[in-house]
Amino acid sequence: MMRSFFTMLAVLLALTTALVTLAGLLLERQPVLLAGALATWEPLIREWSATLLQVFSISVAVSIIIGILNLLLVHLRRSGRRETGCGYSFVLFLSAATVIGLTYLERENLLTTGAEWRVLLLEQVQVTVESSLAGLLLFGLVYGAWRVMALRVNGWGSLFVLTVLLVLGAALPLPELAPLVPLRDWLLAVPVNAGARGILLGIALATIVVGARVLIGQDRSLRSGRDE
Amino acid sequence: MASTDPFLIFLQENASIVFPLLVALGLGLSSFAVGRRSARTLRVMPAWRALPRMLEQAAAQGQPVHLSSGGAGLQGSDSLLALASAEALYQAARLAQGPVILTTSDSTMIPLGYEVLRRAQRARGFAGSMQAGTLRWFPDGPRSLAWAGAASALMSSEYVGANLLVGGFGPELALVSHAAARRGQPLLAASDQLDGQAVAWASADEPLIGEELYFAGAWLHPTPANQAAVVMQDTLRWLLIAALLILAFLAYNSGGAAPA
Repeated sequence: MMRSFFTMLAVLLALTTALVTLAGLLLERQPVLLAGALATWEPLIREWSATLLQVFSISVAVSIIIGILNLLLVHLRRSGRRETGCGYSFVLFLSAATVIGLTYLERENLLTTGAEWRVLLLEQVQVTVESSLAGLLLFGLVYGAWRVMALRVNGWGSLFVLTVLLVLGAALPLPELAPLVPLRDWLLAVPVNAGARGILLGIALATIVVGARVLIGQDRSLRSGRDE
Repeated sequence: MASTDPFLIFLQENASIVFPLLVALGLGLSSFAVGRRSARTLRVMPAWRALPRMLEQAAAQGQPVHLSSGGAGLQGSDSLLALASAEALYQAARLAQGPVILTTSDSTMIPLGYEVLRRAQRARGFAGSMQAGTLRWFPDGPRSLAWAGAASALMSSEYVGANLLVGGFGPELALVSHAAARRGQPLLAASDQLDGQAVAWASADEPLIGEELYFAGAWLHPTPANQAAVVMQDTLRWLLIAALLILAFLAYNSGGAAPA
């Protein structure tokens, strides 16, 4: 009984918030339809909408703090229990603690070495590690192309690999492969472009349906546990 | 040439209000119609059909299942993707018979992720608190490479039995799929980004393309509401195709100029 009441309350709150925010955003853009119906409520809706957006910004900031706590606690626990890969967890925890400590010391002007250690760590460690990972991406992509033929030995898989070879071949600065360039350009301009637009349109339509489900309270996040 | 028809002008100026309202109305009607009929036949999606088998195999080997929404989060244009992703992850967590690990690189997904896991746990009939470390946040970096590196390490250290990655991923998905393939772990993946989608199609065991990411609920838990969403989506797609064909025909007839 109590759970149903809280669920109802949560649904009501979520729907009201969604509708007020939507009305506030629409009033800023296209007041034609809403102008007559909501003329008297317009200042109030605008104010509520702005307040709700501010509350959301604060929630995002809080979620980052929750994320950092989650990261530190998970890896501290893994280090303490000496689980597989606990060494990495310990290094991660130590690095995070060091960066937080250095940031605090620099902000409070307690670190007077002249160098900005926080920025130095970011540029020398984080950027370097991520650059090397980006380098590894190439091998991952090549392996993916190989897996297409291993997993899907059919017409579509062959077409995929042929297209990749054609595009890569046309990119090479070899005069023998020059005839491939117009074909590559046509391929990118027509079938690839059409396919990409088709996928994006499909995603856009699905997104609209999800949005409408949220607005009419059909989304799972707004439903009670009865259908679970 | 701009249209002078008052109805068309009204529609153009108020499309962002009228269109979602029509979709919402259509969803309500579809739910009612689907509810009155027996089970609707959905188009075949091998990935969603393969998921329960993958989860069973992981459970049989006593290995956890790795679920991830990548960079999808509850802010900006990704919010609705995050909700769709949460639905797919919920269905997988509900069907998994063993432990589950959920990873994300967007901090706003943490509360939603906990809710997904808590509901799935309740649906599976487990009471009590959730085990620590079930949800892990890996901070975002350029192209989420930090997430890719950490997720690859997790897949090895936790002896993951299956992976479901649905949400916002870029080419960094190649690193994770490579790690899964090296360890013989099955992987299903889909992304709303084109480069991530291309990698997912090439490297996943079963492909999920574009809007199929949003069909998890209808396939894995076919309630009238979930199936109505598919009916509405398919209807909109056919309407869009018809509109494109009509516009192309009109453009062709008017000598190549786009119709007003």
